[in-house]
Amino acid sequence: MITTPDNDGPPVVPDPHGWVYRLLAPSADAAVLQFGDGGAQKWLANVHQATTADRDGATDAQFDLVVMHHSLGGSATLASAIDAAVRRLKPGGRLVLSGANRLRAPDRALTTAQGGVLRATGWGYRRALARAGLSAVALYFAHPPGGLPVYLVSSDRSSARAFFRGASASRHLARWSPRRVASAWLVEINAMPWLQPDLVVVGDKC
Amino acid sequence: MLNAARRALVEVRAIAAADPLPPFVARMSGNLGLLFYSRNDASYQVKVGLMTRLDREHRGLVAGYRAMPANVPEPLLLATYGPYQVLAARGMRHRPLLPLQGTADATVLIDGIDAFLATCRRAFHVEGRGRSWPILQQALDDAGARVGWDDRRVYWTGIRGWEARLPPVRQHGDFSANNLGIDGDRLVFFDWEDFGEVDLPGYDVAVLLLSLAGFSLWELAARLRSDSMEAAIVRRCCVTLGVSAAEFMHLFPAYAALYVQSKSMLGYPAKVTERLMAILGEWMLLYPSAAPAPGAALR
Repeated sequence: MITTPDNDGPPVVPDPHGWVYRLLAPSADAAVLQFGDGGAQKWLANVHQATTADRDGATDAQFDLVVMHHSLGGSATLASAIDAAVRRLKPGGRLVLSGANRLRAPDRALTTAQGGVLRATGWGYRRALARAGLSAVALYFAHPPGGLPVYLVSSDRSSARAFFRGASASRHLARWSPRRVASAWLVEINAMPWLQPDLVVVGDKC
Repeated sequence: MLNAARRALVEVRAIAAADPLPPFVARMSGNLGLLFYSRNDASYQVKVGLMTRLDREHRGLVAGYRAMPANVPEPLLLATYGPYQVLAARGMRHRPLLPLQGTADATVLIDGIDAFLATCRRAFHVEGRGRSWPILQQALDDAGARVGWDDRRVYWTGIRGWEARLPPVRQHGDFSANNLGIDGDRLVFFDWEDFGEVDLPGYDVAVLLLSLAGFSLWELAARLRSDSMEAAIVRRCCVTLGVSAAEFMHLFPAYAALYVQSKSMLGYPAKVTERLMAILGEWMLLYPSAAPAPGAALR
């Protein structure tokens, strides 16, 4: 489990794969059920990797956190996958789902070992979690896309605009280049989060 | 980790205990950096120590903020919540320094660095010999041996007499361009973790110039021979430092050796120190004489 160490040396990331789940976990010692290769076990102490029994619904052990990492967990649809995940959550538990954005052409294979592709729009993910009875549903995006993100950003206007303005300022684009102008407009209307390839959606079970 | 960040935000009264967590940008760089945006346009930086303790960064931030409150984030809290050490500071509006957007940014940078040096000289001077001069010969010996620099002792003999002219001033310690931001007509300085580890004046400017030149001394030397922003920075800073441009360039092996020594002591990975070892190798080729060449460094 990752905790503040005793030494005062410079930070070196051992393996960033999975840090997003540690960030969003309700606690450091949360009991976690993970569908897909999310790397949560590198950052959390008590992670149970989903087995065939979990995918078939042959077990009913409950968890503080269920991670669905680009995996439908053997279900046929997003809605049924979320319903199955919610059944495995303790009251007050949290579902964290990482999936591809349907609005963006996938640039990598998304079919997981468990079968099934986790792909929807940002609105689709949020609606699916809300329909499953989860509360405090929030959308984030991971950046850069591709499985080893450095950033996780709330889709809210203030945080997303600050992130994309900073990213835009660090690009070498002429002030009036069409790309820059279009990008600035998308940032101002806060459309950018909904266009990002890797989305993360979180909801809590009441 | 979000719970630890939330406790910090409540403690510094950025939010009430019952408020939802404000929107954030989280960045994983070993330690976790979070930037929270509250509704009243204020922002708060919260760092969670995952790979290191944050005491050193807090000390540096406190010193930096005391000396230049308009240019350094205000430290608000250092606390431990459960397994995590948390450092909170007030956010500062800025955009990345690079790429510079026009001559106005270059002017802000030149003026800002000059003002930074003047403030440091006033606020961070050290009584006595400080920590860098007493270890400099050994640092040069260690780094020089690694790149086969036979003249390192001749070099040391040449600069040891400069100690009285360059009394110790604690340096920011990691003054590369990516730790600087710009907001209107002012610079913002971040990442004070290595503050005071080196106190040889000019070290910060040397690191900044090298970072602007992609850590290539060849590239930096070429820019200094042209009518460049880098040449203007050196011209202005040398007045503040009280050395000539040629003498400043002559100190680069000393800066490189101290960089390698301090970063190695702090446990930075080898790739961080290797780029400054390469600088030392380039310097040997560019300036084969162990004595400074007056007027040769700048156009």
